[in-house]
Amino acid sequence: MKLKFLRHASEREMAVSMTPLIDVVFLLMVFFLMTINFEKPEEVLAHQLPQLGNEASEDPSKDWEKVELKLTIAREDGQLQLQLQERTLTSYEDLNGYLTELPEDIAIIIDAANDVPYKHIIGVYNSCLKANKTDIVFSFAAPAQSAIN
Amino acid sequence: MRAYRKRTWARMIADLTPLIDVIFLIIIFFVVLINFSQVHVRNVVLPNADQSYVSSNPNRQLVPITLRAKDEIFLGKDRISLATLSDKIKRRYPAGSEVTALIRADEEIPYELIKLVLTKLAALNIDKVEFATWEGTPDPLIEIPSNET
Repeated sequence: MKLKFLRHASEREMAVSMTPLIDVVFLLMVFFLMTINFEKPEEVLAHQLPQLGNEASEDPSKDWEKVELKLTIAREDGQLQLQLQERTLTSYEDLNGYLTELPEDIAIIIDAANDVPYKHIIGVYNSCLKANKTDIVFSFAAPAQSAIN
Repeated sequence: MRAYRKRTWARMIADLTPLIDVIFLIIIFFVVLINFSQVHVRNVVLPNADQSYVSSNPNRQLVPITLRAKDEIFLGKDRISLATLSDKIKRRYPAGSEVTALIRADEEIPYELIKLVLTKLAALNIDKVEFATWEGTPDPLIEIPSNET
């Protein structure tokens, strides 16, 4: 009788309880599922900067017709407006339509106000590329040292 | 009768081994996928562009500059100030090395900051610049207030 009882006890010790393991494993799974972040793949828009001090207009080998794009904040309603030479455009579609009509070897100078959000600079750059205008220059004067610091 | 009862009980035992195998595989998947790297600083909302592309040269030497705000500038994973950007680049990338600057800027960053960074890059003779974007249609130039229905 005594022996039988002992055998029962040792059988009970041998059994591995899977419940805590599965609990922990499920908790880990929930943690990873909640924290995982599938980032959007990044792409690039390539740009060639001119050497400092060398303006595109000073290059004698290229006789470019210049089209100047200006991004400014309109005072009346605070909305952004594209000023393309004398034309005022209010959408990238208009800009793209106008640029498509221009010859391909034209140089585009993007001159934007300091407070224009970067996404609109990229929007304009994107429109230029869409219209096969690849000679794009950013117009800016050398900044004051105080602005850098 | 006894034998029949034993067989039924044996069928009722669920084999947990494949389940645990699969769960462990899923956990390993998440552990491998999780990215603790700080080379690319997260939480930057990149602008959208539909003319962007995945660079064909993954082995190019990149100077990753992340701009989240005027006082949140990162060179690689290191937080730096705009005033020290040139010195840090000079130290890390010796003069004459063929590098491409990768500008990862938040879409709402004012153009002024981009202008300053581009000027500094031009002064360092880094003429190849890539603007990081996400694939998508650029935000419209005229912003519609979110509360407008």
